[in-house]
Amino acid sequence: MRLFTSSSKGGGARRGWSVILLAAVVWLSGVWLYEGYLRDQGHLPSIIDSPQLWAQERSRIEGADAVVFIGASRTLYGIDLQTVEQVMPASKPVMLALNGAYPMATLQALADDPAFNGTLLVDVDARGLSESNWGAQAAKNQYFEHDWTPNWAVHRRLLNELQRHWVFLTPRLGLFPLLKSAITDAPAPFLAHDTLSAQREGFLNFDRVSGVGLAEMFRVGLVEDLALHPPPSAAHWLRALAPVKKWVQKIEARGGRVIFFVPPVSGHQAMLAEAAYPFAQYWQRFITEYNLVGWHYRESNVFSAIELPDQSHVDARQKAEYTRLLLMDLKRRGNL
Amino acid sequence: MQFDSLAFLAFFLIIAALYWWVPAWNQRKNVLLAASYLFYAGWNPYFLPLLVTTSLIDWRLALHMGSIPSQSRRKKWLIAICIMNLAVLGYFKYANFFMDNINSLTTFMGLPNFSFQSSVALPIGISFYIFHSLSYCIDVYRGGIRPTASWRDYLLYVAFFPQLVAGPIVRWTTMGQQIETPRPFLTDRFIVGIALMVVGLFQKIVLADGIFAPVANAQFDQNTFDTGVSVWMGALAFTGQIFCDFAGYTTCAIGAALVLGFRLPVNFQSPYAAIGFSDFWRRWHISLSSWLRDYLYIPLGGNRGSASTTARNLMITMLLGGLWHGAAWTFVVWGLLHGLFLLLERGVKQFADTRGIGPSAVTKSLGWCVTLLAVVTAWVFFRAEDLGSAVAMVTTMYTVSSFALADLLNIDFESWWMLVVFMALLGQQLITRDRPLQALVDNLSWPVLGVMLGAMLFLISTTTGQTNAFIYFQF
Repeated sequence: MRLFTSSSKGGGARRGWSVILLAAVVWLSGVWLYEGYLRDQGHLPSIIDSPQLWAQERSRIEGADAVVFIGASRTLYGIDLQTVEQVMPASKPVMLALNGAYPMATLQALADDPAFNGTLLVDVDARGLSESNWGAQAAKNQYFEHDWTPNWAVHRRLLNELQRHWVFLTPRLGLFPLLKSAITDAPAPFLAHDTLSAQREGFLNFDRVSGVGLAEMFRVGLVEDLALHPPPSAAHWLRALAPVKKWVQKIEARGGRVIFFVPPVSGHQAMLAEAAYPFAQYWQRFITEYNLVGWHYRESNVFSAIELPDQSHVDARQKAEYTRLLLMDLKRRGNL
Repeated sequence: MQFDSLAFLAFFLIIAALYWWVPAWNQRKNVLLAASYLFYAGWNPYFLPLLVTTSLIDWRLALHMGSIPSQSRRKKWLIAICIMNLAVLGYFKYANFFMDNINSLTTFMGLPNFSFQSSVALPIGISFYIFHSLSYCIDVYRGGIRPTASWRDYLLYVAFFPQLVAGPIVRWTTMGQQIETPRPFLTDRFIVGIALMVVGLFQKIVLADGIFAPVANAQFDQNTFDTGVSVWMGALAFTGQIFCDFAGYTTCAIGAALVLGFRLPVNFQSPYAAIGFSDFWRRWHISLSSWLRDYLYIPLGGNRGSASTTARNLMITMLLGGLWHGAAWTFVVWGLLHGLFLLLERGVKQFADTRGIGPSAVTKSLGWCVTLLAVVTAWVFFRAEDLGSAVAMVTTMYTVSSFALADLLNIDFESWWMLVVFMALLGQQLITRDRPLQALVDNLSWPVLGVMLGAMLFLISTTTGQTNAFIYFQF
């Protein structure tokens, strides 16, 4: 069997170390220039969400002090974890909300996980409760179950430290997407208005984007989705939610608790949601008929001073207040 | 651990520094063994006891077997060792597959099903370390090697982390002497090792994951295979992906071992430049094909019997070789296809010999084209989700009516880019067909080599997309 042997000619240690030194110079110069170019374009460093980052937080749900947030972007970018710790001292907030994905698969996974006996805040509206949306976070849960290893846990922690400082480690700002936009008519990578912390806490900066433009984009998206997935009848919708009650009971049997909540939306978002899934026929019946703990922005006026620039999300500068108002109202009602 | 993770980078820096810092050879071996188990536990610590226990049992049994003078009694011990190892492999890798097929059969016959369903995950690298152990025990039985009295040396041979989870499949004849005698620090070897690790990571991260995988996944993950152009793109992309993924891993493994002063066997030698299928198997996953040849094909009789016996031995070897890759019919068919290709090649060679047709530029070019086409086609079975999808894809690939000029004009940027890189890969393999990577590296001047490595590191750093597990980790 032929073995791989070392270089045998023309070499010597001096030549070898010169190769390494030159390679390092070329590499670091390239990275430095590339980083500078990206920063000149206005891109900022940020932790980038991934199945590994989600799994890193998912592995922290043990203990009665865990306060776990699941849901979609309104919770990911709306909940301020420091404020959670202030309002709920001695708690361990964990952010498992995912941008663009309803949380029912995660609710079921946490119900099936005997290690979870903390407090679960579920941000989900009537549309998200529809059976067709239950699988939206399934892939992340499968990743955690099957592919999350100690190797990736260490890798992700190290990557967090690097991504915190370097823009070029953002996958969508890699060399190939840039080359593609230069060669073809594909658009150049957009300037993100969101950043993420290593604990998966999101921040939106509406100074970097048009809130009105985003609101219109969300409106079009919602209209298209409702046309593609028309709302089921309230009776059918409600019947299909029977397993959810069982999931909640499993968590409660271990000493945990589950609170469903719908964060505020405004304008077209609110109108379209109400037209498709009327509050009284859907959400209210879900909470009352299954005897669950629920909070809906329509039942509270605490957010009157909070602005939603894109009719759906709160700016990072208001998220601490937003979180405090939500949690204090839940406390006042005896839900927390 | 994965070579393309920051966890491995940190681990390797610490281990390499500690290894060379510790003065005594015995202590260095202890460091390596502990590091190897830590490396394995980085994937799943619960399977570490299985690795340690099977290794220790094999070492003890082989030691005992080696002390028995009687060949017939040694044979009994060898059979026991083989049964034990294959039972472990069979349970973890094939139990569900076997029972699923039994249940399909009982359902077909109108009989009740068995309720067996193992939920145990496949221990990573089990096919590789079981083959390490088996080759050792068979060599001891044959008298080719003297069993080592050191359990630590044996455990290190099986678990040596650069090759633990995806090869190359090494033998004691290769590793024994290297483990038993101190490895000197040679600067040249150390630096070539680092260079190879960079090349391997480039193959994996930039080529396999960054360029080939997106096109291959987009094709193989869909359910409709209606245009010939897109199916060919998927098949070519996977052909590039599996080479760069596996060869990338092996190159990293050889590099990591060199940094630690060890030499591992060459596992790939421009396989897509092969002329003929026997040539392909001398170039692709060389450590596996030589293992199958020495411990399965030749003991079965090899090509010493009649033509039909040779054909039988070949098909058995390739079928089991296919099944070694995974518990699915797609792998079985892939293995059988290669067995069939080898048989056809023998037939063509015999025909050419009787007609006095010798090798020429034309026959060589034709042979290369046919080999590459057949290998690409067989990869479809290897990658497809199920046999139905594979058959549908291959049918589309070879149906003239599934091709339209419009499809060619509508190829997306990613596929064009993949095609350019695939052609470059083929060109490189044809040029370096008979020259190992080492010779190429040796012939480069140091500034060229330095710039190339720096450029590769730059591309690795700026290709931080989806991280995929090495394909051969599942085997």
